[in-house]
Amino acid sequence: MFFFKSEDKTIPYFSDPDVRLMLEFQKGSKEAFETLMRKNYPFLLNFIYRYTGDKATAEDLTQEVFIRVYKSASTYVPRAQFKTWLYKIARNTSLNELRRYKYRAVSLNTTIEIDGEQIPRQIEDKKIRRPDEILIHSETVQAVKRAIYALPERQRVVIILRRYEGFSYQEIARTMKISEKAVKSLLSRARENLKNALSCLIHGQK
Amino acid sequence: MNCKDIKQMFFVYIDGELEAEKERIVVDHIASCEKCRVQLYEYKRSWEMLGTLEPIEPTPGYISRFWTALSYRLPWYEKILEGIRNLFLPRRVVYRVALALIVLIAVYVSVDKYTNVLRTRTLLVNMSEEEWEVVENYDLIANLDLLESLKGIENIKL
Repeated sequence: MFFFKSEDKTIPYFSDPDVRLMLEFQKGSKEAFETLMRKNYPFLLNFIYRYTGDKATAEDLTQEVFIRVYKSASTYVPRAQFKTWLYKIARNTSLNELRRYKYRAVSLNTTIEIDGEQIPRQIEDKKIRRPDEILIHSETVQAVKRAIYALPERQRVVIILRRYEGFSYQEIARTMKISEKAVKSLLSRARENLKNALSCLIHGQK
Repeated sequence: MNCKDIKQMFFVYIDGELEAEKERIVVDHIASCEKCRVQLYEYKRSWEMLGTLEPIEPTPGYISRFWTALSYRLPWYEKILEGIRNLFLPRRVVYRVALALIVLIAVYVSVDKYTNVLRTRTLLVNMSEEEWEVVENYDLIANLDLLESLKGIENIKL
């Protein structure tokens, strides 16, 4: 009966603490939602930052993801680990947003045609750096950012989830709704592309 | 194993997840194959280089910013519900208290009606013949003044 219903510990993924928090929030605990946010926000922010390549966009989209989580709480049924579900929302949100604003993953090696003239693409670095700060490390960071951003969307997601979020092949497969074999294949191609994109730096630092 | 077979094991080797025997095969091969050694170095180095992209920190106050952003996005009825939830107790408790109140009111109304019926029944059982006559002729007694004011009422035979 409604009055005497106890916690159902047989529900799937109940051992996942985040799933438990989400279920607590579903029952009305605002604190549970804030705990979920504090726990996952930094990771999600970094996932989206690496995915979009822009911090401000990442902040906005991370907020958007949590708004979606909040709104979907009433219909939430744990069918996967919480982080798998969360990153799936994050990926879809980021992808939709990038499409909406017509952002594109563009290789910086390509050029733009203006008045019939081919002009190289440039990224403006708004941070003012002292000359001594413009070092190899900074160049590497920028090169890595560009290399990740230049990857095809699916390869980019796989690389970020594997390299930065520490996801297993199985977790990536569940997040992206593809087979583990497809994950390995995407990861191999992504690594090959990254190696090619960073080869100048690799041999420059040898 | 040729270079192609060895290359297929590179990523698992870099991840440190290759079985000991296969790992030895890779190590032996790269020791003797310059081309594979360079390739493995490139894969390893590019993987390591990804680590230079350091994580960013969320801007302070991101939780309060979230609640503000949410308040603009919720429909009016959700806002009212949210306000009630914040004023009182968790949703589950609110629902249960509401249900308990409804049940209590229903029980009170039922008991009240039942006691009224019992009281009426007791009264009827304990009534004298004279009282019964009053009850049976209640309509007549209620209009007695009107009947008395009518002329010639005494002459009417019932």
